Amino acid sequence: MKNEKSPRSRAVRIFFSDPWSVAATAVLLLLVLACFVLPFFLKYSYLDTDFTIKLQGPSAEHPLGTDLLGRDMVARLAYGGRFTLGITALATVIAAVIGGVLGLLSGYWGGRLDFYVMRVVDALSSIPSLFLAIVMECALGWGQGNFVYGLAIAAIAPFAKIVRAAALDVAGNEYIEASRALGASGLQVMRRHVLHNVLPVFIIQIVNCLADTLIICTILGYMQVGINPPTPEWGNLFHLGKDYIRSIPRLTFLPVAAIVLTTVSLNIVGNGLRDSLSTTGGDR
Amino acid sequence: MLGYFVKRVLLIIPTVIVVTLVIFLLMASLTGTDTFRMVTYADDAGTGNSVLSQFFVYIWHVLTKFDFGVDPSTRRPITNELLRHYGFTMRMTGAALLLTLLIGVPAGIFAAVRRGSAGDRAVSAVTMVISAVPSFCIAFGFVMFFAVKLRWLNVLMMDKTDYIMPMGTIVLSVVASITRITRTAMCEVLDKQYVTAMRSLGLRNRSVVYRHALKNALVPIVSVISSIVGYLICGCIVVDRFFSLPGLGMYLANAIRSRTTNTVLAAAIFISFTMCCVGVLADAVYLIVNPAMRENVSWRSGRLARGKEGRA
Amino acid sequence: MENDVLLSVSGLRISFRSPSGTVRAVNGVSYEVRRGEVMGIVGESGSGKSVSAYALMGLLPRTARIESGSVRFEGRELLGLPEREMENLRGSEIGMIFQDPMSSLDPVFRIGDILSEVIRSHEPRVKKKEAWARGVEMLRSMGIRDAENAARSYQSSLSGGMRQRVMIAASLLLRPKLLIADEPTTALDVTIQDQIIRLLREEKEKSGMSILFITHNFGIVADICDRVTVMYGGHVMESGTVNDIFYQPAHPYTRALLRAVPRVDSSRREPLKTIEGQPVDATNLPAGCVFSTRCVHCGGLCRREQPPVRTVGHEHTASCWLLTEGGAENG
Repeated sequence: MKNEKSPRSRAVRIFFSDPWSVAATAVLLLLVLACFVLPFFLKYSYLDTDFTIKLQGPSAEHPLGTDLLGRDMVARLAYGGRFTLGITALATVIAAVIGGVLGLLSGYWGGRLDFYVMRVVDALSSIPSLFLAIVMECALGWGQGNFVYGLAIAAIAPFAKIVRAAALDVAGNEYIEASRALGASGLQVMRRHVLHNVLPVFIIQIVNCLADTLIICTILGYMQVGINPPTPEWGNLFHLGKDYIRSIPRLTFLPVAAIVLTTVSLNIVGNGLRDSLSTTGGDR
Repeated sequence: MLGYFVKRVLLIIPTVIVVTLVIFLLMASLTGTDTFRMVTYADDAGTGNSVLSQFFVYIWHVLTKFDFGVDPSTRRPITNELLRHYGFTMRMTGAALLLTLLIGVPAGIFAAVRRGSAGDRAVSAVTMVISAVPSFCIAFGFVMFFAVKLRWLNVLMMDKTDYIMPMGTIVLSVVASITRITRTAMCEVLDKQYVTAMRSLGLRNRSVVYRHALKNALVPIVSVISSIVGYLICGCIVVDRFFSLPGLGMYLANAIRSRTTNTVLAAAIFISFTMCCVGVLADAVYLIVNPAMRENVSWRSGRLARGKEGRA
Repeated sequence: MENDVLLSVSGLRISFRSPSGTVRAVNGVSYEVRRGEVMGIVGESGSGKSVSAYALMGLLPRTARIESGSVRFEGRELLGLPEREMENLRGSEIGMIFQDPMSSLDPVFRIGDILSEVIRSHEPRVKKKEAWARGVEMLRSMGIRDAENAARSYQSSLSGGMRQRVMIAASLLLRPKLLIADEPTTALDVTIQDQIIRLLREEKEKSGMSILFITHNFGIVADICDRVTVMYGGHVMESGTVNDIFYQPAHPYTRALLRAVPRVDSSRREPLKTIEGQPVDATNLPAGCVFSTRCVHCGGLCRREQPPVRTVGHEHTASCWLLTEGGAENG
């Protein structure tokens, strides 16, 4: 019989039994490696311009060619990935933490706090996220340092809703009463029961958020919002190469390929997680 | 039922005001400077006041004079410009919505009816890949393929046929959502007992699927349309920049670069207003389609066609 | 007598794919329904009684596979018929009513519209007004008093009993020769049950149609059925006339079932009689007789080999090793 030790091991087993999920996870790991570790080993930096060799094709010296200012494309891509992926991950973490805390407080304590917080969250989620990010960027101004906050704000709403739903779900349960009767403090109750209840959906939302935020980040980069050249960012690289889209498609194709690869892998991983974490309570 | 709609329509303006307030406050708190003026007017109203009073001045101008302020550099009112660009984007969004439904719903039905078969899995795979690709990448793909390789289409927007690529891009970016939710909704309905019962009565399979099942499945589909419109608008914004169309995208890009909060705020109001209207329309369609609910709906009810959380 | 056979099921085997293995729902089931008679199919849940009925209508879910067997209706083989032909058959030749009336009607259409669509699917030339009128008339003859109003309503405004009457009306609209009734009264309370049974009997008398009545309630069997087939674990345990089954049950399972029916005249202090053990697991059937795990008379042979069908009386058969031809019981 299928006797698992815990839902967690069952989830892990299901996840890794799907070849697509495994492949996608591997791709993501490779990408992270390429963008965060590789730069230390590169000869050229993303800043090194050399007008004499601009717009060259692939060569031994520059495996992916050079861009319109003579910069090495491998470096541009790698550092660009570091920026794009890093910002995306950071924004997701910020959104998850803030959204999670808001949702937890809102759901657990209810009352007027809940009411006002949910009005704000509803207002935020009624605006499409790209536009919300644009609005926030506009307020925050140009600064690259602030870029991440705009993305984070656009991503908070779903986290708040999810955690609040889980908190509400738990707050009504009798075993909470029992726990408190046994002397557990509110904080402990929150930590154990709510966390356990919300974890699967939360994890899935994190992956979804990464994918969505990545897209918004690249779009904003493409629209040249919040990115100061010469900082590379995949969307921005696309914009820079756009003028040469017919003559030298390589300049646009490379960042697009990187973006698509990342988002497709994230989506596959998200689907895999959804399948493996879906049921509450095993096979039957 | 009439009471319900009256209530919904009456709530549109207050909802937009609340959303504007939230955005206004967020923007104000993020800019960090004390004397930051959110909105510039021709008569320099509202300068130097507190954030909240600036907000009230703004709302007053919008509601009474339909004045969204002026462009700080040119001192020209932005209302007309904004309306022009916004109208263009709305037309594109409407056309794109129609196309998306025409393609996505039949695709979803196709997949649901053949659940588990190769056809179904093909549709699922295709939708997944498409939904993972950001819109400008799709646009890039289109341009590469149709303009560069095949040399069929222009990028210059000279005549009607040149709209194929931008429309195609926008439609592709949302069609996966519609297909997925149609499929899910149809699968759920097809599993219900009354579908088997209707078939056993001798109703033709085609009628059972397209008339009975689809009508029942429309509820979640209609709910999703509200959020789809949001994505469509964003898609239009991106595509504007890519293909240099005179829509919201171009207008916003300039505004962001020059940090004109007027424009961005006004655009936010327009979009929020549009989405609220779409929401009410979606409810109306829902009640048309599901007459059984008509008696149960009064001015007390909450929103009917609620969007789904997260991914479908 | 043979020409009177309307429906003939023989050697039917149906299985389902499921995450926990292959579910063998129907394993070599055979029975007949004659013109004008009511054949009862009796068994616990999971005995495969409903599944075989769904197979007749071609309404099995996608996960089901008909492994072998034949179903003949008026001499015509139904399994493997193209869908178009099955569509023609359903409703007009064979009808079906279901267990749960609360969810058997499309909630977004009016009752009258559903009824007229049933008519116009098979008689396309009939005009809408006429189809509607016929629907209303049928509702009236089912005992629904305010038929016009009922036709204009949606299923959510009707009670459970009324919904079942509507279902019956809809299934009888085209005067099918065979009506499959899958536990139509299980979800209803006893007084309504009685009315529904009476309704079905009246219809049967009026039109001479046959009924395949699936149930687990022996009281209903005694009330309306002419002949009975007892099923367990996807097999036919015993088959015969109502009198045979009630007064001379041959199979241990049938006997145990009858014993378990509470009697009005039993003492209040007596505990209810049950059948020991759990219903059989359809993914893991025993090698021998399917009842062997719960049978008090079970012997070695019973566990090893499946018993053949033995004749114990005129048109009375049972499948048990303990019986010899002619009815005497061994051991």
